[in-house]
Amino acid sequence: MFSLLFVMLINPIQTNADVFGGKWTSSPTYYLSTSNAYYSNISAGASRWNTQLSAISANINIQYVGAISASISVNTFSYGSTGWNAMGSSGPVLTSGTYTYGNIKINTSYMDSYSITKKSAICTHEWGHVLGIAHTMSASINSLMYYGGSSVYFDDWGISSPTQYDKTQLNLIY
Amino acid sequence: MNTIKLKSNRELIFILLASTILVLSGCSMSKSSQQINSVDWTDHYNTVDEMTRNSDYIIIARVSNQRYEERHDLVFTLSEVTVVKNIGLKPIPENQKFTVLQTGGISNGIETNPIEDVLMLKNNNTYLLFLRETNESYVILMGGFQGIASIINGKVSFPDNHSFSKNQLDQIPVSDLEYTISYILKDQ
Repeated sequence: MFSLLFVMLINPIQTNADVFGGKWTSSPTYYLSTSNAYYSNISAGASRWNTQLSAISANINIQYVGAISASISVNTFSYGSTGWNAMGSSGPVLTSGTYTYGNIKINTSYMDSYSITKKSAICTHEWGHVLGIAHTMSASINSLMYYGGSSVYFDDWGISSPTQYDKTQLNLIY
Repeated sequence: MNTIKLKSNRELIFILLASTILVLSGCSMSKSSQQINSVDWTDHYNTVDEMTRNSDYIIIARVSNQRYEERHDLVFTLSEVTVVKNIGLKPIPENQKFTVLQTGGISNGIETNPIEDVLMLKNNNTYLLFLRETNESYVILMGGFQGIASIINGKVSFPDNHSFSKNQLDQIPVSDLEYTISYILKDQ
């Protein structure tokens, strides 16, 4: 009994969790010119996660600030036929510790042809990674973070915002 | 009293050892500590049939050369592969070369980490590749990370994350693979 309690106390690994292992301890900040074509999509994604962060009473939220002080860099660029729509990451180590910076990259080569709602769904997905949420591997779970990408979670399932499962993952981190 | 204390110490040592093993095994189950990038793929397939039918090319090929290309703030690896065997429907001459683009690599001191779950092509190694054409001079893997498996000792070896491929095609000889693919494609 004692050993079981001991292990539970000192072993922080959530075996069923779809989280990377790191987290923000202060509010992440981002900047993107309001004239950028993806400003509203990026902002919509941040807002959707802020709603969830607020719901779980997290002590951080995603904030929009001036370029120089932003901890998250958002780049939109035509990277060409890469096979991916967008990329999201945080560091210095994605899988542990405290995040001090992050980035979201939008591949406009694909994204420019998508609907506004799909663009926002993908941006929201990438914000999930920046916050420390990993891909959900199971197709039987309703999740914005499904590893198959937006052709599944948006096109097939109609998901564009964090689901209850995603909120649960967020709650494991914050 | 001393005997009881000794037993307690042994118990404590056992508990500590067991806990340490469990902690370490827990750590090894967590995701790699290597820095990775997560992406939203443009395409995804749920079955071997679906991926096979949608592929432009299905080949067994050997990586003969690699170079790196910077695009804005990212580095991409362009692997030249030489066709060893064409197992798709579209005719391809033996020894034809394809260039496969993958995200990640090092160029001029700039490093882009690989994308999670993607098996990166390595020079001189042989692979099974499910490919799709692009409007550029290279091809890309089907489903981002899905359309690739190593060929080791004449058998197909899929990474652990390839759920359906792993279930249906992993560790089968290349000859059996050819039969399976041709069976899927026979009605096309």
